[in-house]
Amino acid sequence: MKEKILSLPSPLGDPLELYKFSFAPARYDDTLSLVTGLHGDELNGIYLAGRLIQFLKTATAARSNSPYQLNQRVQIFPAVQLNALQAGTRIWPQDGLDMDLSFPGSDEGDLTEQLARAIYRHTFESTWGLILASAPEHFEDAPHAVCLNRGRNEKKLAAGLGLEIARVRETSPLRRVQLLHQWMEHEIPSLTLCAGRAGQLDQALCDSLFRGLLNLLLVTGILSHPEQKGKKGEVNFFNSRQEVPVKVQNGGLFLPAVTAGTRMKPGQKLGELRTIYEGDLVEVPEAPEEGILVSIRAAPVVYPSEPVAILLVEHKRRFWFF
Amino acid sequence: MTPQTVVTYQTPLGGSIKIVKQTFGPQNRKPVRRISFVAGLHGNEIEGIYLCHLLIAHLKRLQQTRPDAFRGQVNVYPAVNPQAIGSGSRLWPFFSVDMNRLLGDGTEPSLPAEVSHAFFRDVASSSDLAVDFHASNMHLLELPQIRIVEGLEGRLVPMARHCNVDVIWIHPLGRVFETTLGYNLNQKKIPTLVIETGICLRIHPEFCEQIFNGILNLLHHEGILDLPDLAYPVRSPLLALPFQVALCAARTTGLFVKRARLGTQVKEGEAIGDIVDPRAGDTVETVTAPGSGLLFTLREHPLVHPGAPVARLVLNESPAP
Ligand SMILES: [Zn+2]
Repeated sequence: MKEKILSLPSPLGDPLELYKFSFAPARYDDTLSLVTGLHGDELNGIYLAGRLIQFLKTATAARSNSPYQLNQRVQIFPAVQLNALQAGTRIWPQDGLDMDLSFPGSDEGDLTEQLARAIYRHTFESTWGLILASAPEHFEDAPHAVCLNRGRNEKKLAAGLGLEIARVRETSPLRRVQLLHQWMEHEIPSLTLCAGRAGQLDQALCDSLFRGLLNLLLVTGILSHPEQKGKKGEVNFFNSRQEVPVKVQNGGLFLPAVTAGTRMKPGQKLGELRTIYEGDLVEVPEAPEEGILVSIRAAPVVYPSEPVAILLVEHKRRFWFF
Repeated sequence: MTPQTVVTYQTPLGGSIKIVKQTFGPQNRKPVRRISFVAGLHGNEIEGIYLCHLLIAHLKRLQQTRPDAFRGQVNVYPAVNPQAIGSGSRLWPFFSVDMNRLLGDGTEPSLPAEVSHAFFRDVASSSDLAVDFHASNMHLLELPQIRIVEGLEGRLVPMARHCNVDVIWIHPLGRVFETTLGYNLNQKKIPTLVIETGICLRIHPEFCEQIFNGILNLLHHEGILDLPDLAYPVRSPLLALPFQVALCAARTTGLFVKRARLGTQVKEGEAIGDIVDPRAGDTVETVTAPGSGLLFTLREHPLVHPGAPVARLVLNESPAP
């Protein structure tokens, strides 16, 4: 069901409308909320939301011969930062607000805050919460979960999605105004699925993530199928002390030699750094130790001392690098 | 005057970007106290950068004509986010981050975070007092004012009263304030005033001169400069507690055209401005004052959506609880 949850007049065109798509059996106890497009350039998530809506529409249609049965409610909020999506930007230039730093939002605030409020209001009583996001600007991420709790339910979510990596974040003043944190405050088991690169739509990646989404619905019993049972894989949790950023000393163009998700050996080459003017090779950043490459620089221009990769390592590092 | 580079970083093309500080102080004795002035955390807020110019020019002259006037040390950081200033943007370009949201704990590792932390360490280690200059965002024009987070007023209001501003606004702690320069310096027991004036990307010389006179007065009262012949009459600011500030927001969409003037007293029900629908030629809303008081914030950017702030007033009478 497509439901308009917010309509805001716009000065020179049609009103701005925020939609929610929900699918539910006649009776249900649980709700999974899926939020995508908190930034206008998180295209993989926006595309995945569309695919899931299409799948659930077919599965729940009257006279459907789909073998799937929906047992609980799923509500999907695609393209939440619709102003930015339409402007082709990450955040909406008019108010300059990062939607994922605007929660719990406000009915009286700027547009972005009103949109955030609508999302918050429709999701804070969910049973499960899931946000689809891309890597931070300039990076490409291997698919992984980001969560604020290392609980049984977060593990179930990550395992259901087929994610082997979960990064546990500590809370901070900025994180407290993120949707994930707001859900945590309401004790909603939730995570952010980070994958790919902002501004790009990677179809192969989305195919695999979509299979993960369906598997999650099966694992949680939200969806059932006569033959298919959800599969639960292993999830490795990493805290902030297990994150090793690899920085370059020089600026220039970074040309990666490995892809996100690679299991790196100590001393393995991450890429090359070349000067912009003459193309001289100035640095070959390497993995300082064994670990999983969760993020790699995708935008080639780098400043000196910027990280070009983030490794997740098994042992606990004693000091944070700051 | 001693110019000093506080932080340097290289660009990908090999050039360098520097955060510079100018220091003035007594010549042959230890300074009694040290104060720092910071501008340009947000690159499009030019009013503060201009204020630092006025201050540096004045202190340079004073050092030549009356070096004995310096009892304490004055550090001026006139342009702390050079790349953002150079591109006229609020955010640090390329990294798209707000330099005033990178302080405190829990920031992600990045070049801007490292640079900001290095800058912060320098300010914190060379200040007993500080002033952080800001202008408003793209949308609102602000009367010269000092904003103080609730809980710090006991310590900061006496200092703020010297600054010749129109309003001292005590407001509750917003959630992201914890990452700002002002909050973090105050946490380190360095009393820090956040001055807000004008609007971004413009200079209002009359506001800047008003604050500049206030700053000289502050320097004199804090014993940093000995300026016995200071003859400026300093205005006594209106002290606004959280519940005494009323915000008027647009209820419709269109172009806001102001009728009232910033800095004037408006009466309850008086029209502050109109919102017009430019396609239909209609006035769709008249924004009126919710109470009587001083209009200290007024919208400049005409485009409004429902919820967009249009004006703020310090109410003459507090609303009934
Ligand atoms: Zn500012």
